[in-house]
Amino acid sequence: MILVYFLVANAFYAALIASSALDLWVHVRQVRGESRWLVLESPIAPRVTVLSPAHNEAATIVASVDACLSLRYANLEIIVVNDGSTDATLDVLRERLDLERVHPVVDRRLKTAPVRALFRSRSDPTVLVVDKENGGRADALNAGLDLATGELVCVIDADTLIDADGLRRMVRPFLLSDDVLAAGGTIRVANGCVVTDGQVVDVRLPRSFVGAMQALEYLRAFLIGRLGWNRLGGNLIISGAFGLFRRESIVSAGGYTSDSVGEDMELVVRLRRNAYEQGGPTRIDFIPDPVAWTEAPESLRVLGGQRERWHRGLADTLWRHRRLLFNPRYGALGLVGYPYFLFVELLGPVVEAAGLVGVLAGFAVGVIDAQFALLFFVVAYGMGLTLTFVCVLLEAVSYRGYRRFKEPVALLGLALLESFGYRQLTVLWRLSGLIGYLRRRSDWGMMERRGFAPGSAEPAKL
Amino acid sequence: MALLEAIVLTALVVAILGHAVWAARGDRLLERRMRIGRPLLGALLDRPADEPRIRILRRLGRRAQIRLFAELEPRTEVAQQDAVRDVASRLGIVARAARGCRSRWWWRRLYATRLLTLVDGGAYIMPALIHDPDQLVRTQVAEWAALHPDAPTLVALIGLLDDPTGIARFAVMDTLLRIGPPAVPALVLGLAYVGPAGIASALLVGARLAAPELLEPGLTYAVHPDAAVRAAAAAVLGALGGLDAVRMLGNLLDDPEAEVRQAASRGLGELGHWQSAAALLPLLGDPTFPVRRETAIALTAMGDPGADILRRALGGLDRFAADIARQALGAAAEGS
Repeated sequence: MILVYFLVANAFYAALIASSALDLWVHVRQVRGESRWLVLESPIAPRVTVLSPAHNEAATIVASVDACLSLRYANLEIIVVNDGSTDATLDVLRERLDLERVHPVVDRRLKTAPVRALFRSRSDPTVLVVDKENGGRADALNAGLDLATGELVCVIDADTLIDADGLRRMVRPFLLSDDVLAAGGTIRVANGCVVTDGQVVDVRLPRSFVGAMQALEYLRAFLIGRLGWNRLGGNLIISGAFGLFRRESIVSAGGYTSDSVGEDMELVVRLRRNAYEQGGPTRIDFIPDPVAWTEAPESLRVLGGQRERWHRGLADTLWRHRRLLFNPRYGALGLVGYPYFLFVELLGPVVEAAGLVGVLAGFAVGVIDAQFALLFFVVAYGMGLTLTFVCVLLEAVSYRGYRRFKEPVALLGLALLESFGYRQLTVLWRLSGLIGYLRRRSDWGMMERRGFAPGSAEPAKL
Repeated sequence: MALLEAIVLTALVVAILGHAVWAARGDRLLERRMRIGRPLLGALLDRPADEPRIRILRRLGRRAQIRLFAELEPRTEVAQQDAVRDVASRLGIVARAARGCRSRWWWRRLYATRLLTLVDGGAYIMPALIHDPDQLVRTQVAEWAALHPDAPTLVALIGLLDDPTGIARFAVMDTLLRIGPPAVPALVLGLAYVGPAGIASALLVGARLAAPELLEPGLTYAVHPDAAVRAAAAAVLGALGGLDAVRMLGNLLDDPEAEVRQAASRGLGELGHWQSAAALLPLLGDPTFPVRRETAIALTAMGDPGADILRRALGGLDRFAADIARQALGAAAEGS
């Protein structure tokens, strides 16, 4: 049983990485020599509203707003939603943006917690700040969606730094095809990078083991788990850290779900499901360019909480949309994407844990042949390494974010070490998330924000 | 199986490390060549026929040469464009790119058209690619045409306003806007031979250019059977103004399609035509929000007569009209 699962999962991974490599090949050729001035300077560029929800983000909000303001895009609106922060988030925004109170004409189509006030920046009138009572991230995004005037909305986390050209690259899929519902961008770990004026100016690997391991995970997850699905049509996730959507599609679908811890994934699945049921654009396009940078947890405790929440969110979304499973009405989404996320992503830790326990129990009672077990471990370990190495190679030959010689070497080293302790920890966290979901836990856990110190190679200690 | 894995893994490690060494060396080399090339190219743009300098630049390699030209973007001076084209021709970049334009592979044609756009060359080959099967090649040719607004190219460009792909239409509209007033005669001419989507796009470009020659087409297409065309015509009329335009915009306020009513409201607002304020009152209670919103904004733009109408709606029986008027008058209850 474990063997069959192992083979099926690895066949999926191989198909995804092949698809990802093909997509990278095409994409690199499509953007080679492309002038960035076309969309950037055009007065008819599609209007984009950047939505940035912030709850107690006083440490990072200025860097995040600065990053938004430094985006090179001709037709931009930025909405920062202060979601009932109890720290100095609003004061920091007031000071940075020189806010004045406004009363725009608004179509309230989404239900949210009460909005206390709206402010527009005097120093940069493209920025609107919404001050509302706390209702959670989804509620904050819905409040922003109600006020957005862009035909496209870009959802970012307050701790996300977007590449100056990031929006231009993200808008591209919408110009290339009318059938694109949403686009996701490749997110990388910002820890360790040098940040100046809200921009990552020098890409480096995080110095801590936990941070560096996540850099490797992000690399692999975005290449296999996101880009790989572009051609196979099964993409279910756009990272909450940076995604671009057709506004009308989200608003018509009722906005973000407030009672889910995996609201980003839930929205994408709902949008795709609606598209299949009611017509309209169906595609989720993922762009391979590294366009955004996010602060990753530096401690195992915080990382564990994050992973546990992600897995609860995955379980919640898959359960809400269980009708999709093997349902031909939903095409590749129902027949390939959903089953993969259910059997490989959601239940993967269960199978891994069961396999580990089974092997130990088998050894204990002497029913497992040690030579076979060792060979199986070597093959499984080798498969995992091969996938990771291919990802490192694909990144190196396409975008080469990590340019110093020691960085790919470090990534290879991390890949070698990953299976000895770290991977088992992630299995444990994900299992805990699954159990938490079954026990109906709905808290978000915690994330310690350290912020990005200008010109530093390390997150600032605040 | 384990042996096969070992071989694959070893090959991957060698490839990753080999690439890292090779790429790092390439970066250092490129940086050195760029340092040499920058002052050389600067001098050559003043005197393109300086053969010794051309020879040195040629030795720096294609990658460095193209990077040097890319650093000059965006260029605005015509004299510099001529010099760039001249130097690129002497370096053989133009001839090589022209060969690439004839390739059977889309990525080679695309890269070649991008190179020719970068160095502003290939006037003898680029127009032929305007109907290339690849949408990105067509898009690139449209971008290139911004610097070559001759009549045949413009006519062919306007034909692309009917292109099935959004990016090509976008590039054409953008290019026509960059060309500006010289594009207007071709735009007016082109309206006759493009489909409804092309007409709507052309009129939207026309609205931004606000050329008086577009008044007649604006009035004609305001009664077109396609709603998108009527809305675009309303945008043109709103940009141009005049008695006939205002009269037609007034008629369009009763259009069965919301997007047309919205465009007509916006047009009257942009013109600040306060005499039409009363005609906008019914639209404050329109069933669609964008029309109500646009009407409220238009009335606000009309000054006191508009504000009077908003106040009348505020006290009226229509809840929708009262709500939008309340928001527009800035009397919104905080937090609503």
